[in-house]
Amino acid sequence: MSLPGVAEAAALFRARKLSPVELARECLARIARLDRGLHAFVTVTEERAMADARAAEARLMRGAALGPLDGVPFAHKDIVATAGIPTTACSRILRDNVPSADANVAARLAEAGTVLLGKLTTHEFALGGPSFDLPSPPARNPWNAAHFTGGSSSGSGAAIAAGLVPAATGTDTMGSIRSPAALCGITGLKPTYGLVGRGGVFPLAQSLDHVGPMARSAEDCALLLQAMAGPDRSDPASAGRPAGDPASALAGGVTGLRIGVVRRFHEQDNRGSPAALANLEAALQTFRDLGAQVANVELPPLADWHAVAATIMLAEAHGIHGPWLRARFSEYGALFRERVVLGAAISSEHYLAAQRRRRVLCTTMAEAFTRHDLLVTLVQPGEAPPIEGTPRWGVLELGSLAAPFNVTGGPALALPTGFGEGGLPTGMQIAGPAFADALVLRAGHAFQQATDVHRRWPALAA
Amino acid sequence: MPDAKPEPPIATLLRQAGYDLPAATLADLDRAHGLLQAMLARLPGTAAEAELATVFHPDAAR
Repeated sequence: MSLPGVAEAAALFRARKLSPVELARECLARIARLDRGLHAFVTVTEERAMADARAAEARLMRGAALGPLDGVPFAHKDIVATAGIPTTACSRILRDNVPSADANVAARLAEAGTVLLGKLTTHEFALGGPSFDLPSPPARNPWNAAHFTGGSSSGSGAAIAAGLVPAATGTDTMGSIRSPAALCGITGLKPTYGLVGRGGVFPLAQSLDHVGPMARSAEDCALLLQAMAGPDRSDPASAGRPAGDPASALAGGVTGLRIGVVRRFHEQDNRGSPAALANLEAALQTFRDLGAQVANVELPPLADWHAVAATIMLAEAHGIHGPWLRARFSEYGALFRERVVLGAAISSEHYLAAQRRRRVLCTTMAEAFTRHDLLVTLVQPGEAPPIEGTPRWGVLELGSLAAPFNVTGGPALALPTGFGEGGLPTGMQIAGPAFADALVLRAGHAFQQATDVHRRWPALAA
Repeated sequence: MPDAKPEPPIATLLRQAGYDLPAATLADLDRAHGLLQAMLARLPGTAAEAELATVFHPDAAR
């Protein structure tokens, strides 16, 4: 069997064609069979999973299901605190860390009835991979294990693409949900900043960090967002509002929606591969065919957005890790420590200048959203590169296509558009104004209802 | 005897920030520091007047 997604599993449970215990067993069997070559999981919580599954099954059998996520297998990126379960950020620095409490988002998903399968590989503290000098190896791309997954939510991308688990948490500071979603051929939502509480999630850069869902479809992400979003008293950036009902809004379609294409980002500033660009044009044609109005939009150069995001990220990350870096430098992996230590070379003037420029860029983006309901661009310029050949200083020298939406904090959904010259997935992102998460998901769902790329599986998972 | 290679600017910066790093690491970081400086050059200068990035609300709930 191919692993059902979230909505599909819920439907099968309701129809009594599949039970949570059967699905949890299938996931654990797939992890045992496939993860040796993928390294998506750093911890598998088999006993917890079976206990959760049995409890969910009992609720379903007595007609007391907690909702659409009840009994659905799930896993968390290893920077999301889970009570009694190691949460190491894939770093020697936290190798003995066993939290006493769940992160806000872990508690919410547990209360929704999800079945916890374990913890997923991340780049060290959500930055810097792929690294070969950490306590565990980097995750591999299920479409071709010699290739990168993207990151930093690398295990989340690999595990969902390989059908080890239907859904997972990711975090996104400069694209860490959207990049692995695009490169692994799955769907990932960076929600509006503050919509999903970050309490108990180890920060990378507090003013850019987001937590969000990764799954196989926009519909699955909508179901997950409903459970994940809401007030979080442990996160000072929490917007204090629920997600509403994005799943119910999915059927609205895109007829009449104004979609702006930020061509300079992917055609000029960080040019996409021929296949990535062709697949994006085909996706835009699908939106036209569905009744959307597609036009071009002008925004400042990608390098301006990237400079703001990278300056803030490095300064804030150094603010967090500086004390450990000074005392325990060699315990970090080389990629993480040599990137974050550069934050010590960012002055207060630079940091404030970046925050000032951020305000201006946000105003520019907000003006664009008065003329367009949604914006579309690539997430990554092409397919996943070989895992051994990823650029070491990419965070400094390449314009991240994802970072503009971390700068603004608006929602951005990454989803697959097709396949590239090497047979690996390509993707696009659909972005919206702040708190238009439901609209972004609606557009993604309309595209996925009209296409089938998101339903394809890599050979090893079929 | 050849002249000693001058220390890269990042070495001084990091020493002042409390780091004592090996020469090989500092040499690696020298190139990254160049890229960082090029990136920082894209940012506008700071200004003296109050602005949102430095605003504090004493009556805020938190």
